[in-house]
Amino acid sequence: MIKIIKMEMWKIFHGRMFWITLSVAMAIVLCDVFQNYYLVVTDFNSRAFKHSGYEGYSLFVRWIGINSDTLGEAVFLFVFPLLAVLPYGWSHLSEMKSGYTNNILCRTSRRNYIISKYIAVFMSGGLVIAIPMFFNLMGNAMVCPACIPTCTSMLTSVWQGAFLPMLYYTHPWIYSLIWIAVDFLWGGAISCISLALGFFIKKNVLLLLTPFAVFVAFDFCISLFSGTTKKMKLELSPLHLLHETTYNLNPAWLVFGMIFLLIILTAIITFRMGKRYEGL
Amino acid sequence: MKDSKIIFYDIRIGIFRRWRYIVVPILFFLFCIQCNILITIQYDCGAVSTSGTWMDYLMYCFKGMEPFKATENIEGFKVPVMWMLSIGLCLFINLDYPVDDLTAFGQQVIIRSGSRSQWWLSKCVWNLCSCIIYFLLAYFTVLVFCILTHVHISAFNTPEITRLVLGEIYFDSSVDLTMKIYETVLIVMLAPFLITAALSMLQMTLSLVIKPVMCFLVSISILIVSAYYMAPLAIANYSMIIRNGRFLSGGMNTIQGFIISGIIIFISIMAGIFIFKHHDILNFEE
Repeated sequence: MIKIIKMEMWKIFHGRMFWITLSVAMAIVLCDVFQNYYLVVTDFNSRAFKHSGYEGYSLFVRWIGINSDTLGEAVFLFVFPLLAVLPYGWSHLSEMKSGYTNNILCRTSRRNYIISKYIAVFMSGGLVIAIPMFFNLMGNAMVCPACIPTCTSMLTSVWQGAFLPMLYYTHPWIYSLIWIAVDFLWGGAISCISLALGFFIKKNVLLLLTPFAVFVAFDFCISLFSGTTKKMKLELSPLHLLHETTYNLNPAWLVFGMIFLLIILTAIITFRMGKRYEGL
Repeated sequence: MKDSKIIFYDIRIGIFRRWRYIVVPILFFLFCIQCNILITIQYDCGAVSTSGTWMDYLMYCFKGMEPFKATENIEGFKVPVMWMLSIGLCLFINLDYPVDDLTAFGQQVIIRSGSRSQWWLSKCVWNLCSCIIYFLLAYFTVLVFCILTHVHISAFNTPEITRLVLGEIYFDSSVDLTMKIYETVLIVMLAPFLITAALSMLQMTLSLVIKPVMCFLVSISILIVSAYYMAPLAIANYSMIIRNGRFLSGGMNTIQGFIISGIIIFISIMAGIFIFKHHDILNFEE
């Protein structure tokens, strides 16, 4: 089992797609760092931060996990489901198509193969999201002061009922690292959608775009049925839940519940269909 | 092999035998429901005196978002999902047919026609036809919705509904919202079509060099950059009705948008011919 997992991980890190996707993600998050640098250097007296002073330029307000007004953040969060599946989400389908799966299945058990594939796909999706986010946090730390925001400044939407607000206002470094871990889980869970769908969709392009399409469609449907009310409620759109600061409330149980649900659903489909797959 | 034969083949296989167009009526029907809810609420409480026209519903579907100013907007940037869907779906539909064809039957067509540029030009015609079909389907869906809900079928807009669907707070009250018929056709119907066609052609040309999924990533990034920055080079801005110079001082010029999209389409065709002539099509990956 360990041997197959090692082999799958080797395939990820020696594959072109992982490095291409990682480079694209890094370029997007660097764009966010440059925009923050430009903001700090030139736009010191901008209206948005007039009443909050230096806090408005705090690292814990400006890094990609929290800020909601930079181009890098907008692009990264919107294409998040697409970036997560690109490194290795396609591998299972292409291996089934080429007959490579049969070579593995006659050397090890079906269970071992599916488990190792699931772990590898999960790791690839998580890493391609978490690494750029970590670099963004470090990059922004070079240009923004790491002052702790006060809850009265109202600079972010981390308020009561949101994701771990107590921790944010007391230990923001730990909070930021926890959020990177949460996005690692999101990335992994999303990439496993493409693994599970690989049993049903036989076209590579469709397979890779389906998680993205589902997330965007879900977001639109939620906006359609939530009406025009401005009253604060729970954030149900998974596309918005990928970001730490949402207009509606995103309590920890909701975030972890959604991730857990996604992992369980994809795992059930993958293992059930993997057992039935005859390799023909 | 004649030019027309390849074009008819592409239209038959690339348009009529593709199920993805089914999503278009469903999506635009949902847009119409959202618009209808918005208008009905205002109509019931007496804020507006009419239920709008077909053109008002079309305006709602392609309205886009108001210009974003990072330093003034406390709520942050919200991606205009409805506009992204209305443009992005067309790009998704046109994403992979040329690559699919090239890795399958296309190589036989190139051998029989004896010309690579003929194959590429046929794909360009297919791409434009596909965009036309997409927009016709969208307009027709909105028309059917209007007939079903007894909305007035007219190519004229209603100023008070225009003010409502495009955002009441945003407009200067001095702006005359009564549009002439040529304005509605140019701004609401032609501008989104031409910009989408230009983006789709650019995407198709890029798919000769990089993987289709990466091309889609580039297209989506162009749309987000356009939503973020209101600049002439962020071309998708021209497809947003809310940012048109007709409504907004300093807004986008429709004719300039037509010229830019024409240039992009022309460059994409020529670049495609050049790239395709020097491309190794035998080792082409899906």
